[in-house]
Amino acid sequence: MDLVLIQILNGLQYGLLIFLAASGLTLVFGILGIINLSHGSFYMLGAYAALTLTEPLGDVFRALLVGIPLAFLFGLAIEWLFIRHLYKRDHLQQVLLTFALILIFNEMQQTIWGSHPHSIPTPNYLTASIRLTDTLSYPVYRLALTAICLALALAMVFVIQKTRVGRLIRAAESNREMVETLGFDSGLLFRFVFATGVALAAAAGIISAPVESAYPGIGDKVLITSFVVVVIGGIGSIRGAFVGALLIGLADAMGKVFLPSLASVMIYGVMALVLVLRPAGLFGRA
Amino acid sequence: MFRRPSLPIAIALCAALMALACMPFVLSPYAVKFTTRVLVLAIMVTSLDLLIGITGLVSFGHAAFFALGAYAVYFISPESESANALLALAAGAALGAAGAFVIGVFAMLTRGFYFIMVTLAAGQMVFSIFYDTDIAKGSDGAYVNVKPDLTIGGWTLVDFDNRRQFFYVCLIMLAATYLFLLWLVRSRFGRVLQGIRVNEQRMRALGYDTYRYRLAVFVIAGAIAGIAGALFACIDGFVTPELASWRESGLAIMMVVLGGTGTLYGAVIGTFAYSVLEEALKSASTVGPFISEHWRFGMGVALAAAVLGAPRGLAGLFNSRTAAAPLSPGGDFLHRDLARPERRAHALSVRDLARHFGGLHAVDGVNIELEPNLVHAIIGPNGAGKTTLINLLSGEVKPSAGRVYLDGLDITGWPSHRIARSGIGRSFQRTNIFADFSVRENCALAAQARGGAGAQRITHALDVAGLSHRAEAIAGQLSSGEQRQLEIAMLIASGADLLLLDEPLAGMGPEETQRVVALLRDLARDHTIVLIEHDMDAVFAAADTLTVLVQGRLLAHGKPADVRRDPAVREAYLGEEDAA
Amino acid sequence: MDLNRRTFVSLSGTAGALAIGMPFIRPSYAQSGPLKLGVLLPYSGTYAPLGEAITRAMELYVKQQGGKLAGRDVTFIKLDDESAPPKATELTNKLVQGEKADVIIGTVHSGVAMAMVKITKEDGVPTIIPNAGADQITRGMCAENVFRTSFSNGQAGFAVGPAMLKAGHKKVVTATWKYAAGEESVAGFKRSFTKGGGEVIKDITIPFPDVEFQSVLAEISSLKPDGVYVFWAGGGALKFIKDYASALSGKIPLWGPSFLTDGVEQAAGAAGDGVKTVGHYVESLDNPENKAFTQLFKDAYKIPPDVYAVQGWDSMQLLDIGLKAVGGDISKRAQLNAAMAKATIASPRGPLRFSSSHNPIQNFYLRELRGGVNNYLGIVEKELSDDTTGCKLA
Repeated sequence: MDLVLIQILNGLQYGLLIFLAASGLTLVFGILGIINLSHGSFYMLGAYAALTLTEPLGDVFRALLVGIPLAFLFGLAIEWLFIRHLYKRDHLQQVLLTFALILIFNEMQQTIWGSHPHSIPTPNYLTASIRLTDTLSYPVYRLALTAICLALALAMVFVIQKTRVGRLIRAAESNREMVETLGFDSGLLFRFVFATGVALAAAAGIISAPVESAYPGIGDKVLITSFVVVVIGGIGSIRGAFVGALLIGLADAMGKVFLPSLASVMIYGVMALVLVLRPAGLFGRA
Repeated sequence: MFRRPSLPIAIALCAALMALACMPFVLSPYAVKFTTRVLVLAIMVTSLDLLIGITGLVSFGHAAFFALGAYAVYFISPESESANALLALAAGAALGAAGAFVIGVFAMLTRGFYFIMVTLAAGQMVFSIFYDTDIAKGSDGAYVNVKPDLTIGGWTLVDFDNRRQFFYVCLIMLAATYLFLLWLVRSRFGRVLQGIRVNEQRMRALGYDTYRYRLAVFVIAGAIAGIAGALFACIDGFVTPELASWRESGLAIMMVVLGGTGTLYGAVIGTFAYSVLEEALKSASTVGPFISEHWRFGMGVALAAAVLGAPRGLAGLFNSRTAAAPLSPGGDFLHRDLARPERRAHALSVRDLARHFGGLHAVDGVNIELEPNLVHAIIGPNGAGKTTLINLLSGEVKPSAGRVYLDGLDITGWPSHRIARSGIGRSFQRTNIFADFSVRENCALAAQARGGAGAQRITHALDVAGLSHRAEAIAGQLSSGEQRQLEIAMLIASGADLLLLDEPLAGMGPEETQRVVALLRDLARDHTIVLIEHDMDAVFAAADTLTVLVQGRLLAHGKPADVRRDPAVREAYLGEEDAA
Repeated sequence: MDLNRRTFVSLSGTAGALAIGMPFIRPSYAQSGPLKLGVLLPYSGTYAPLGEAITRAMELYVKQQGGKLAGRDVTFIKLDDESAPPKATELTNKLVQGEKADVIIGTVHSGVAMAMVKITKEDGVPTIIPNAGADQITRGMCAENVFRTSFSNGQAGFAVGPAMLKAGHKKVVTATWKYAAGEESVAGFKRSFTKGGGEVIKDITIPFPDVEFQSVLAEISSLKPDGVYVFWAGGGALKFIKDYASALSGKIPLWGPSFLTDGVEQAAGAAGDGVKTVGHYVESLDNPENKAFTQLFKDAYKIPPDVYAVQGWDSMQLLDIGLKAVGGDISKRAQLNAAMAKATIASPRGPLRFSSSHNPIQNFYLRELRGGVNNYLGIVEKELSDDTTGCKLA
């Protein structure tokens, strides 16, 4: 029974982390109509940014505060350099170009940080563990991580539901052309949304760095899992991404303990099930 | 639609085939092995083009069938004897096809982006099954200890262990695959596949069970990928789960797109271009250690440049004819039109028109003047009542209240066929043409429907719609833009001069859209046009007036530029989204 | 116009076909040119540090010999295998046939090594494995021309069993990645451990190269064993040690073969204190070869060598012995192989010779990590050989 509770905790933490990455992905899909394979790379770059920023700044939370605006600027640049050329192109070309970006980012990572796995220190005041059972303790940082993810998630829901920009984003998600027709500069909106997606993925990479460490290829799994979450939740739906991410987090955590040989098939199974029952995802429009 | 490769390209392909056939005599064993691998990949990638370029199914899990084919050879190979080569290929095809069938049954329920994701997930599942379970040695991969050969009566005809023989086996398989697919795509079955790519909705409306066609082509492509996988397993006798991973599937898509989709031979070009570039960038002895250490960067930049610089793929660079073709008809009627006299068409006037379905006010007290010889566009979010309004005008639906006047004549409540005879023609969201009839026959049928089959009216209609040069073509083989033109030609042939068009641009590419927009502008010379459209670029290019409906109510009506600036439109539109 | 385009397209088709051959057209070297050492190692991914340590030691050895082995200049042709089995055959082919390497040295990942050996065994090119421990390579798949200077997974796991029993751990849980190296290691461990009366309660596996260990830790804590045997290496090992410390806070002793702590001693920090490992090398081994090698390595790279560096170093020692026996004439493969099979090497790890299947016969030492150093606690097994089941070499 202990095991179940602990795995629920682990599943929630993983799910919330994936939510940060997946929410950016789902916005970029829903609004820009871009299949962004390089989304995982932003998570990876976030993890490495944590490596570089944590030392001079002192701890990973300060790295997060500096890293998010940096990632946002980076996102603006990438959108301007590459992504904006893709809006009128079909999915295939998007796949091709963003795949090329993966190669470029991987090489960038290799050149700047080398191929060694690096661990990023947990802030001193959070290195303690909370005792859960007589043998097992749960690291405080993981709890903090869960709390931060939750806070970011709530902040995002607030922005999307309650602010002018959020309203515009929702309008664009539902009918992009109409928003353009109404005279809004969709180019600017797209750039903003893309950069936000990059910042979210990088934020996930940064705060998870102390538990995940930074190593090459760390973004791949995040990418695929995020795709699955987006499909489960329904394209463009933040709410869907949230529910989907928690579902996947829990399925993964339970699968690892109770069906170890099928754990990795599990999340795809969940996805297949959802698609059969609701072809447009849990919160998607058919 | 799919064209046979032009003569120069056919010559180039033959030359390449010849050059390849000479390779085992010219190149080092390593180069031969490398080329063998590329040939095998090319078979797989070509089969993927059948899905992507021909049928429009972007499968992100094609490598799964490739891997299944490879594992099939492992499964049938005895521990220390060689398996029968034909059996090995057949097993590869069978397992690939079986996998494609099982996955396809589910995947074909989805479309577009979801299809991409479902196939991606399916591929990852195949990967996971081989990676995490012990059915084939798990994550370390499995070995085919003795490669298959073909022995009949003690004579070994073909031995896959012989590098040169195997090279030719692969070369022949690639050529055979290409020719088979060429035949398949040009067959009736292939035309249906292309129809599905262009507009699946219409194909369904025409009575094709597109689910079955899509599943069939998915299984065919899976079988071919399975054969390629079986060949791949015979190159080194080593198969791993990674063959099924999303990166391999992504690479295959990469190669298709790089070469140019929908040409089949483009897939082969793409495979070679990608593989050779990667090999060259990785070879320290060719490009120096610096570049070879950073080959990913070079590859990434090259791919990015290819996407941005050659959007039609490498084949597009050679195939200038396909690039130019869709544009030319657009230019055509600009010339001819000058000869046609202008003529006042019918006008419609709508007064307090309303239609309620139960409690739902689909159209709620609308007043509009639709002046003659203009293009009027009706826009609004989904559920705004646009189609209901069109249905009220054409008599499909009876109004709950209000009146409709055609040039001052009250036509409210008239049955739809009577309204049609008064000169109002309408099209539906789905194109409804007769695919097996020629263009002229389609128009004749339309003219006939309103009595009298004046050959002159048909010629006129074809001329106005810019289809004279395609009069004898089979309608089903027209591009989707041309089919929309045909639909309009049919309306004209029927004698209508007030056209109600429900989403005439749905499912069209940019060039086709451009062409039909030009046609609409030209038609306004002697017709009145009312259209519903979602493509806003096209609306602004085509329309003289814009009518915005929101929740059944008329929000704004006027010149597009004025409507666009209307604060009420912006506010109300966004407000409507709040409620959603 | 049309004719021009036709000619152009045909020409470009032919040119394209010729271009395919381009990467392969390069000058061929005469036999007297430099000796080409084809190196297949991971330079990226979780095993990258291992690949780098091995490479450094090999280059250091050649440098120390004045840039020559047996009188011949040496060039390294290095390929990154990314620890990815699917690329292994392609890359090995590239080294063997494409680059025409005289000797193949590689690699770290067992699966990659298996694919590599499959090809080099057929080709006959002398092959030295500086790390990968796949049991089969020196059992069923053994070959005249394939040597290993590291260990076999089963051998390294086998050595841990007696040490854990001696420490009084009777009920044990094992955890590893689900891939051949991990499973062989656990199998080797269980063989000696259960024979000595121990009991393995549960084998936990996670997919390679996952490093999310929370579920493993949760399970270990719920099973409450006397001790835990794990097989991880590289970045995964470091992370496990840290996660283990914060989750189980030293309540259940952590054991493993030496890969668990090699190369991560410093990074593990306090979390690593008390982790016990058994391996074929300890940094503090008191023998002249080790002292000399450690000094040399420190001078060159500013950091002390680890076991992987020792394995790389010994790979070059072994090759040197072989080359000297044939006077640098690499074409005499049979004599080269024979000389290498009989070699006895004074290694920094202690005496090193080879079994009939070309697997090392070597000492295994008990070590405890404390304060960022693996401390030597004594010899567990002296001159341990792995079994050669299935190998037909005499």
